[in-house]
Amino acid sequence: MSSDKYAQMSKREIYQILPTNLGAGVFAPSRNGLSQMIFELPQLPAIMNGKSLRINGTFTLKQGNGNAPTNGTNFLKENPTGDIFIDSRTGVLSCFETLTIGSLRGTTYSSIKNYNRLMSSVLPLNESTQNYLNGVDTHYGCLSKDVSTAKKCDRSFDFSVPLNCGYLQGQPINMWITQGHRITITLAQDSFVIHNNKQRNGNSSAGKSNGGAYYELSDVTISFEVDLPDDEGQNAIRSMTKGQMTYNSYSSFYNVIVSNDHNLSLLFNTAKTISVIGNMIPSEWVNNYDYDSSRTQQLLYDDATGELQNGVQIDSYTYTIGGVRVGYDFEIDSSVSQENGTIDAVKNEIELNAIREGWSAGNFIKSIQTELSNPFGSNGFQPRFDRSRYAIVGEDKFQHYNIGLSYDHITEIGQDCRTRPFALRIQSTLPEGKTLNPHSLYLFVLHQNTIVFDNGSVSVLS
Amino acid sequence: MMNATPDVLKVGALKRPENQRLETDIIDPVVFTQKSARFVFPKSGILSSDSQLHISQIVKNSAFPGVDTNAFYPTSTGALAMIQRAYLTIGGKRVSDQQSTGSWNTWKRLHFSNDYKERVSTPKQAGNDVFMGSASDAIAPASADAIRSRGFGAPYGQLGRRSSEYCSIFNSATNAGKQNAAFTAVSDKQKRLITADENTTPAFMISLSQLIPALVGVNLPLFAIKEEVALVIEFAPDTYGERFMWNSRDTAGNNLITADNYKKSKSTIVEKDLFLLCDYLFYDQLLEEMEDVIMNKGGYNLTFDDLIVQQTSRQFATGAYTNDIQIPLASRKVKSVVVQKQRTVNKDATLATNSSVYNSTELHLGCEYQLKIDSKNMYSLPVRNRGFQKSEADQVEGVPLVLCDYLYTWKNQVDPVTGVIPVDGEGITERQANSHLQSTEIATQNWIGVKLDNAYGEGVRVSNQPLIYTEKGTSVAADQVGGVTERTYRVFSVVQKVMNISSGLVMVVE
Repeated sequence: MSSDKYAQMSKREIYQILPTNLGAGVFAPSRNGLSQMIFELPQLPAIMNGKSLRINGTFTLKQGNGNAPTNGTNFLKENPTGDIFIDSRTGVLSCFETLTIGSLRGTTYSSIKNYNRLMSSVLPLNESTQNYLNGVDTHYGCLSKDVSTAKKCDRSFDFSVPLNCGYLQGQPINMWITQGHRITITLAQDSFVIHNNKQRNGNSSAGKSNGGAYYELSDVTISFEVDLPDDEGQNAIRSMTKGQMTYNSYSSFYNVIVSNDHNLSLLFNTAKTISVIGNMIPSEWVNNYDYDSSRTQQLLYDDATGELQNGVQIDSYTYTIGGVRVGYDFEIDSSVSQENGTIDAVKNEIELNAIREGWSAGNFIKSIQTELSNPFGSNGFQPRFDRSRYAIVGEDKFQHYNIGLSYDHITEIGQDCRTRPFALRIQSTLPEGKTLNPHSLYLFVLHQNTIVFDNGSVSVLS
Repeated sequence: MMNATPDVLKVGALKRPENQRLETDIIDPVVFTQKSARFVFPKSGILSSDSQLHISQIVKNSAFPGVDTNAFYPTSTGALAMIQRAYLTIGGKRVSDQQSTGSWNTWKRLHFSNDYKERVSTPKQAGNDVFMGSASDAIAPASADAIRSRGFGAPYGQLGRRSSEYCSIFNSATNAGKQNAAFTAVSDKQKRLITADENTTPAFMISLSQLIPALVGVNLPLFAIKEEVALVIEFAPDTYGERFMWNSRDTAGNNLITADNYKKSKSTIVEKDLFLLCDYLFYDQLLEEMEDVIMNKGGYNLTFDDLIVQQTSRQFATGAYTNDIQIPLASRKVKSVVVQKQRTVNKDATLATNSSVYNSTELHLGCEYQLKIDSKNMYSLPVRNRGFQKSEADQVEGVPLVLCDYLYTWKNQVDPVTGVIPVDGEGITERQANSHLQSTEIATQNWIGVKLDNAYGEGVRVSNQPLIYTEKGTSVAADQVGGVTERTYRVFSVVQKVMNISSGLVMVVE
């Protein structure tokens, strides 16, 4: 059958599928134990548009006593109550801790741990503030500004989020030969998703009261569109027994930085490694109602009040594979720019290349204002942007600090890291008398996978 | 076998450089009245679909003659509000027809990016629909709270058009620098407000492709069409809320709400400002070849999308409702269906809104919808989730609707049982724009869209059975603003058509 005939005869269909473990219809990990959402997409003689796939539902945020937050009336008060909200740059996606996509027969095609942390790096580069305020808010439930996102959390809202992963965002998916799909999403802890407004106001503590604030996801469905051919076309798809499919996937790694000369070595075990991106956050901020667990800060040290507010001067990053500097045969030196409080153009370019070129999903715009220009260093000055007195119409200025490098965004062959360990050295300078608090480093390795289908057997080569 | 459409008849870059020249003509209407105008194109070159209609209007109020009314163009419609219908005739036959031009182009404009709106659409066609500012309604009394909130009171975190961060008084020597909520009001730029004088009122430009669906992506080979090619434009009613939206104060400070004086404003299309700026493309060598194909070798089939508009009204008493709307599209190839639910009271003082009648207002508790094609449901479950509703609407044009959630839906802003807005519940600020509360625009752009065409852009061939669009929900007292229970449903169906140009004659073959 010619492709023209397919074009004439196929039709768009929408599938909506309920989770197989629906329970009472509400996913509230800390209250009813339903911490996984499992969706089973049937084997169909049709072609799925993975980009159209959405997780739809209703998000509700509650204080520990079950009451709704009251950000609209309290967010900027001196002694606020009920001021709890979610991350303003990842929104509902901050609830998705692990995303696994496999076939109904058990083969795993893609598994991303700390998916919400990956989205912390990707989404603010994928969407501009204009988008956040004009459409992204309907889908992800966040508006890029904390005060606006907090207001939205006062009442339930509907969401319809796409799943940003290479498997779905790449080429159209043959729903027959891939043997159906099981999509499993593990939900994050309440204290990861929800936080107080403590960074602006030390009096903010509503998240911790009455056993802790919690969230609920209800009326959840998955939806996707397929192109369904006519009977002849469906039979042709059913008769396919051999084939292969190539797609990009992220693998995740976790590390803790405890030294100002940090070395890590990891064996990715990936043949076609395209890029590595990562982000950091003080470990005590993760799963802590007082802090936004989705922040992407550089290393921080404590100020006079004991809060982690001041930036540690980052001196350099050195990347190696198998002991050889690969990607960049030099250290990425940040010391001068960090000391002067200027934008770190070299690091920024490298970080953006790693994400922009490594991620095939969309067009990234670095638009959200950050604190990269703040005066870091040992002088302990107040950061230039005062978070406690809040610009109502301005953008939020929280750091969006990513690290990473791209090995090959042209041919997508990349580096073979099956037998050559990846290593990263991060050198930084702490002011005298200061010690480095533990920082969590999340690394995401983008690599190319190939699935080979052969008479019912499926093998994934990475 | 039909000849492939040459690239020069498509809108876009040519595959290789060609010798070409461009001529621009100004064409005045051959017929002009305050109801309609008719333009006839010369048989010259290839008509660029980006040719422009130049148009303006004046607004006079009989209660205050001679005073500029500060009337403005509806916020997401702009100058297209002046036109109710446009159609292209070739040899006296209607080839492509766009009804409800203002409403359809509101839907279209909502897909423009904010950058495009600010830099292109607004200067060219007026309007004021960029919601980029976070805002708050009120000014807080001096207090520790006010220090932390920079002087603003709750509700915090609302959205609105860009306005002052500090709302400082600047026209009073004694109070200069103090905060005052009145100074947060915004308005359209003076140069885009409609005046009562033909010589000072602003004129705007509308692309032909915005008026004639057949010209989206198609340049018309006028040189090879023997028959008369004409564009007919029917103007919108000359009253308030249709061609223009009113401001509560005129330039002399008269309150137009008093005694319903705003209803005494009337529009007049300025005849001297109404003309077409036509671009004709000439590709000297190619035109000869094309003429040969058209005259002697079977000609070309040009595919285009046309619009079929169906209008009906429904009453919403409080309580549960089910509305079935039948859409007869006998045997046509349908690419998409867009549904507007218009609330006309938005043009009146009861609920004066910047978007005026060019809205699609959601009921306070929302609805679920289903589309039935040839007795089969399009969706396995009726679509109820507002995020998914917008995702589906986003698919229709291939680019997302660029509007904030608060403009799309009441959800998140109202009580889920009564539909009443709780204190500080609105997501859109009460700061005024053009003298009307911006909060009246909440959920006024709730367009429903269903994409039917497949991944190759081919629509669904429907049978003689009508499509059935079904909405279910519950109407509440809050939906009946000013006692008005009626909504106008308008269904826009995009259908595929083929135009055959052969031997100098044009026929729509499907």
